[in-house]
Amino acid sequence: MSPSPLPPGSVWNRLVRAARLAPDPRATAAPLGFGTRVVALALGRRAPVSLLDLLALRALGVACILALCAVALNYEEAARRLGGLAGGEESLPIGEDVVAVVLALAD
Amino acid sequence: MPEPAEPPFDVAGCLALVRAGDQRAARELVDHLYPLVIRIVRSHLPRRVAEEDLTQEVFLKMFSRLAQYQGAVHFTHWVSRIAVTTCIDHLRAQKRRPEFRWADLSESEADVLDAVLTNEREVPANDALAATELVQKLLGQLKPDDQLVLRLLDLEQKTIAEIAALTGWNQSLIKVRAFRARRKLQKLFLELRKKERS
Repeated sequence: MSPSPLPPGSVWNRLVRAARLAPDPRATAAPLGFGTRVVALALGRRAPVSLLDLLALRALGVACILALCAVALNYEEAARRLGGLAGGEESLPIGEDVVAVVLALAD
Repeated sequence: MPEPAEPPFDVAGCLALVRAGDQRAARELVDHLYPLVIRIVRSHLPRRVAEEDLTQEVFLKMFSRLAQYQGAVHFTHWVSRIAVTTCIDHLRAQKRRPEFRWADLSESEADVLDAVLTNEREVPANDALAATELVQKLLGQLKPDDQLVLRLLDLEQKTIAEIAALTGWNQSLIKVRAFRARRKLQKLFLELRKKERS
């Protein structure tokens, strides 16, 4: 299947027809030592990669995105609560035994 | 007495050994694939890039991606695709394309161009090498992707389906690129003809 066959008399067609006749006398066998060098480079640099290495950066990226999403979604509620605390709506018991307060809350 | 024919190269067996870290098998695989890869690299070699460096890069990519090879296509086809995409990456990296000028052509290249432009005579067979050089210079005027399509389609006479399999591009895109590239060449030939007359 061809897109549009080349017009037989076109300049480009005549040129490529001539070019296709050119022999390529260059050798196609691998030069001496080529295989050894390539294999040494390829297999030598194949270091064992731990799963942690592979996933660490990706996981960090995902965690950052999730953290940002969580902040964005809960921003209103968090701001309200922080604002409430700052305004003294429910002030912290100062001077009281904190452990007793926590135990009382647990009950 | 004729020598006994060499047994065909066992690609699957060799791959299994390479995956197990056998360096000898890896060298044999490189030697076996080298003719295929060097032909592709030579056909699509960008300017100022050494063919051996590019070939080495193709093989290094092949080894680094070996785990991804699932055997869905023939291994040589898979390697050809790596070679073609590596070449196209290098071609794309070359931002500047040299201007095509009559003055830069050798005498035989100018003769060939004159012959095809004036349509008076066929290009002599002994000018085939000059025609090849000329074709490379003309292709150098095109965008890398268009160059690749015309090389595969017109010089190597591959089918659209084969080019699609090699490049991963869809067939309509290849046809559009071939059309666009040939139109640009036609425009270039018209300009050259005008210059020749003036």
